[in-house]
Amino acid sequence: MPPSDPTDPRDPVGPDRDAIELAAARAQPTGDADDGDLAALNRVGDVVRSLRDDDFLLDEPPPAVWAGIAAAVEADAAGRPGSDAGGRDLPGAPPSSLPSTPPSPSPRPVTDLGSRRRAGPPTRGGWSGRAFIGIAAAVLLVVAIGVGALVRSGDPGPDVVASADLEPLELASGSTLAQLVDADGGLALDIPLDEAGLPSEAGYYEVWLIDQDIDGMVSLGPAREDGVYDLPPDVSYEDFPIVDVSLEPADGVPTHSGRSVLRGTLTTDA
Amino acid sequence: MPSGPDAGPDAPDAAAGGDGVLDGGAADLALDQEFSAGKPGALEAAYRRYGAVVHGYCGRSAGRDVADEITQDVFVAAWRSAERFDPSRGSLGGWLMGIARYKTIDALRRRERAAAGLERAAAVAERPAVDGGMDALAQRLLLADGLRRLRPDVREVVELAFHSDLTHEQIAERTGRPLGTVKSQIRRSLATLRRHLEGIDAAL
Repeated sequence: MPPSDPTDPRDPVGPDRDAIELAAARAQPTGDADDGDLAALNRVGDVVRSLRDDDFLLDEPPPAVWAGIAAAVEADAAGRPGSDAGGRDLPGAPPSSLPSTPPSPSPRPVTDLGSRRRAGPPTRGGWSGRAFIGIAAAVLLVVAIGVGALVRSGDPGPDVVASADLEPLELASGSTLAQLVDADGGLALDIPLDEAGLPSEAGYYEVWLIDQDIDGMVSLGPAREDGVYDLPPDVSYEDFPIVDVSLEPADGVPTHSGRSVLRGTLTTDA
Repeated sequence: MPSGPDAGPDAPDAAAGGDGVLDGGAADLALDQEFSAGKPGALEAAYRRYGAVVHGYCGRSAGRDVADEITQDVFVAAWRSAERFDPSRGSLGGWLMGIARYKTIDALRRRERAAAGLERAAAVAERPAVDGGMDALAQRLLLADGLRRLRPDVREVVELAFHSDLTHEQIAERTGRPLGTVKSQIRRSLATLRRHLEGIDAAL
């Protein structure tokens, strides 16, 4: 669709206004409407008559919702200048068209469990010091696990099968590196959560593996001091490559709260 | 075709500039066009116009705890595929509600799956939480919002027409307005509301 129509700029909706007038005229319930229009009219009437008082009571969504939308769309525009992106490019909107919301301040965008857009998270500009420290800490921890778990078998150390850079979403102030290690035959995920600067909140943090479609998910349990989360034997990290940490209310509901604080995708890079 | 002698002072014609005061139809149409063309600012305008309705729908159908993230997802997805929105098939509001419906179903399914844990029973593939109530809710919220945006005197006329089954003549008599004004107000408001329902249909 072209960015501007050749129609009269003073009346950008002229043809449709005519059309709607016409449609409106046809909807006139005074005998000259045909069956289809009468049906449509009756349908509107049915809905209007079914309205309840609380249908009129709508709260404005919290500001974080718009912040999240703006951030996601901004990331779209920044992340793929004329790239493929699965054939769902923006319809010709330049980055300057984006809402003038500050790019990164709090509130953090609401995390979106349902999105399938995270196939290619924007790469960060090289290893930051914090990431490096995170990795170092993680490696240390893995070594510690290795000593505990593998020394007996005489292995040289745990194999890192895959890793995921967990990006902060809500609440978290830093990233951390999740590593999938082959520990004595079983796989375990090692996540130094202390690197992510998670605040103490009511409830608890929980670790999840989620599939590529963000459809199925497996809980690896509440956050642990030792940072080690065993994968159930039949759960393949290739089927559930997304590592997600959520904040869960202590309400006894066993499902994901929807409040993700960290997320990243396991890759086997090199 | 009775165009109605809208001579009354309370009948600002659309030709006067489409301020949308009377029935919101012209303003909604302009937004629809801009959104489908990916015009700068259209996403924000769409959010201002429909954010609360979409959010309310998500909250009531999937739960307040997930309303924020689903709402966000709806608008991001809509903007990404804005060129697929066809204003001639219905309103942007209806189309957004259709997307919200899909996203809500997704969220409900995820919740079911998570509840099922590792026992991914075949039953989960069914969608027990999804029923016609979701569509009815989308329609009600969108039309309630549309009615709320009508100028109060126009809304009164429309509600009289639907709730009390009065004829146009009776409404004109009761409100003391010219019959032509009453007719055109009902007609145009109806067309606006009808576009919302058609928008939901088009998105399904």
